[in-house]
Amino acid sequence: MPEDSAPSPKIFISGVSKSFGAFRALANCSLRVGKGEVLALIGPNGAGKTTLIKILTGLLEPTSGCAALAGHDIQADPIGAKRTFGYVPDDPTVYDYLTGREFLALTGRLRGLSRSQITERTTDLLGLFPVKHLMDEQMGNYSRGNKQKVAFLAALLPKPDMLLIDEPIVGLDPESITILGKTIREFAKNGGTVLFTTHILSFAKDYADAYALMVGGKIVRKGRITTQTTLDGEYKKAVQ
Amino acid sequence: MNIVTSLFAEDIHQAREWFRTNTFSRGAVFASFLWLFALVGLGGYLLSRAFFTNLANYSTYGFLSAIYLLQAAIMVLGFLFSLTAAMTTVTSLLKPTKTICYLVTMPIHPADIAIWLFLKTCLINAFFLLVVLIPVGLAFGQQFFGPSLGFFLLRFTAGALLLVLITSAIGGIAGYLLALPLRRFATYGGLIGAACGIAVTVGMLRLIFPRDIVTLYNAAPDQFLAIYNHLPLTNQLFPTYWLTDAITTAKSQYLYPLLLFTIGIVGFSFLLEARRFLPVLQGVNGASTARKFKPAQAGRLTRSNYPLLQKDFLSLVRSPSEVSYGLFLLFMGVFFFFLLGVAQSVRPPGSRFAEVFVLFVFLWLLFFVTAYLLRLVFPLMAREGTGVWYLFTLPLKRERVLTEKLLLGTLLSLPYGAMAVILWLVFPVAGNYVLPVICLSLLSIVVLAAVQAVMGSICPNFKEGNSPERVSTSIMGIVTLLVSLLLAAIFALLAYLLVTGALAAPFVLLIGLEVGLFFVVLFWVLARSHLRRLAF
Repeated sequence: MPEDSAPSPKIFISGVSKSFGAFRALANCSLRVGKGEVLALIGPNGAGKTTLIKILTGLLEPTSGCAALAGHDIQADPIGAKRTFGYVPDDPTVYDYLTGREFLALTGRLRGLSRSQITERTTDLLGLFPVKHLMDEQMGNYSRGNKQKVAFLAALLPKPDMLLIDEPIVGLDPESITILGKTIREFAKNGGTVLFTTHILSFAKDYADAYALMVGGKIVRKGRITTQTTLDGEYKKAVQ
Repeated sequence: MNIVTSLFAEDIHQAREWFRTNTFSRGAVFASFLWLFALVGLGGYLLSRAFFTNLANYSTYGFLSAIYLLQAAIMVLGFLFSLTAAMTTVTSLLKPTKTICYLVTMPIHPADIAIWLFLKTCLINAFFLLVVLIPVGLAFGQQFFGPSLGFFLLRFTAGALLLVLITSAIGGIAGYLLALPLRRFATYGGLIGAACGIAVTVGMLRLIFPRDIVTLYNAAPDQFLAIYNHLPLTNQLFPTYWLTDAITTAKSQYLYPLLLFTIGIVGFSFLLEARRFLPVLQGVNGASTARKFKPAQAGRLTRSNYPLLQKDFLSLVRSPSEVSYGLFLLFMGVFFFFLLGVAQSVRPPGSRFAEVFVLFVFLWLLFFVTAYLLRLVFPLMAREGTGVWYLFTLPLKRERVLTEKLLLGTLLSLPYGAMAVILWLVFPVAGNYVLPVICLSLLSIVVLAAVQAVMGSICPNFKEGNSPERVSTSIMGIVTLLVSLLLAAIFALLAYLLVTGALAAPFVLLIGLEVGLFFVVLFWVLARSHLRRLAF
């Protein structure tokens, strides 16, 4: 993890709390993720990982605190902030009536890409996962894993600065998990920033540079992942 | 039978639970519906009462005409309710609810599930049929069966219940026969269904209104009976004739044939549904629904200046249920105005009649428009469904989403705009008022579409996005219905003031424009404010 004094982190979360009525889902969470870094947000069910990622994407408003992406406060400048990231939620269901190719075209158009850029990027991205044969079928017929893959491709389409992914490997086959992990690493190597949530500690260990462990709405531990890091042990200690 | 009873008990339990949470608002929704049905029933009663009173002036011939109309009403309602039952059956087979899917995995005989579904269709049909038919029967009985009204009403209600069983059975049979072909030809299913519906309607109209019927109005008393007895609908082989006779005659000779016919068709429907429930359900859900599109289709989206509008349009046209519903509602409008056209053609077009007729047509036109828009335009935002995260994580102003929904809503109202133009060119309106009435109709249709699109973005029910019918009948749907009816009343009043000469055409159009703008802007501001605060 970069030190707090590190200049202009790409993802900046400061003192974020979120309450739903009397239930406090997040309590004073702070986090920084720098350029070219992959951070895994880990924690048990109900820890607040999805709530935090939803606040980052602007889907939820924090009760207090602030979150910024590439210097754009998500509440004060939502359009500016949203231009910087691609998002894949835990439930990747989008438009069942569109084909995968139409979905990518729609995303490109709404992200302001030109026609040639959309065609070029789509062709490039379709080499990533073996989904070419599905792209002209309606997405309603896709399996969960294939929807996840297309949503991931759509997130990558506009070449964003950041990727925010909620539970990226749920529903994916082992081969696709490896492809996704490698793509995340490649994305970070090219200067991109990634924040993903996961329950699968081995995936976090294999593909993230750093982790933040959440329990009961709080970030209870942060650190860099090295070959010596035993996420399993950290996780058990924190949860207990 | 224990299983069926248990399933009904669970339905009642769920209904109670529905009221237990948000009791006040849900009670309000329920009360609104009851009021609406009460108003429909009252309207039906008053109209029928006036009509039958008028017919009673012509003694025997009036009575025979009234019976003929009753028989025609039974046939039309029978057709409509069979159609509704068929659509309900097809929907429950093509889009089985989670409850049905769960029940299929339980050790329950499929026949029990099929019977439970059939009885539910009967109950729904019974409710609507009684709301529509009982007021007509009451008016008929008061006019022609005064001294034995109670006995007549008993016969009438029993007859209506037989009609419910017959229509539910016919609809059930049709639904089971159509479900698989409709799934196989999903793209054209709606069009094929609509074409069949139109063909049957035309045939039925020819049956009810043969050419000879016009001669009845000017026939001498001795000719009347000869023409009447040769009308196709008075053919004694028709079950509608048996039913009408059983209702209007104390000891009808057609009672037993009618009962046998009912038992036969209901029994056949029961057998078919009980035996075919599982195979059809497996068939429709096992059939490949994979639809492939040419890559060039995606190219259109990359060029579009209104990609959200185009996406929403695709969401409608690629959904056979939405296409069928839209066509069905359009077809209902065409059917109604066709009947009205036939009915008004035999009335002397005096100026007073023409003025009231314009008001009547205007109100009905906007009523059909409201029903159509409430089903197709109002749920446009809610139809984003669980995929709404996508739209609201894009770098787009939320107003843009709203604007494109509004534009699509307006475009979807065009078929009714075209119908309005045709209506005013065909129906009797004084020449100098035709253009202003057309303009006012188009304005009111566009305003209604815009209001519904915008109101649908206030508290959109994303959770029910896959069930537009539930979105339309939500609390916001009811509020939108009431606002739309208020607007319809205002515009109809303006039309009346226009054709009576009370207000000049430019003035009427200006008021209409101002009223429309006021409502659209008001709800736009509310929707925009709500969308800005929307969180998921």
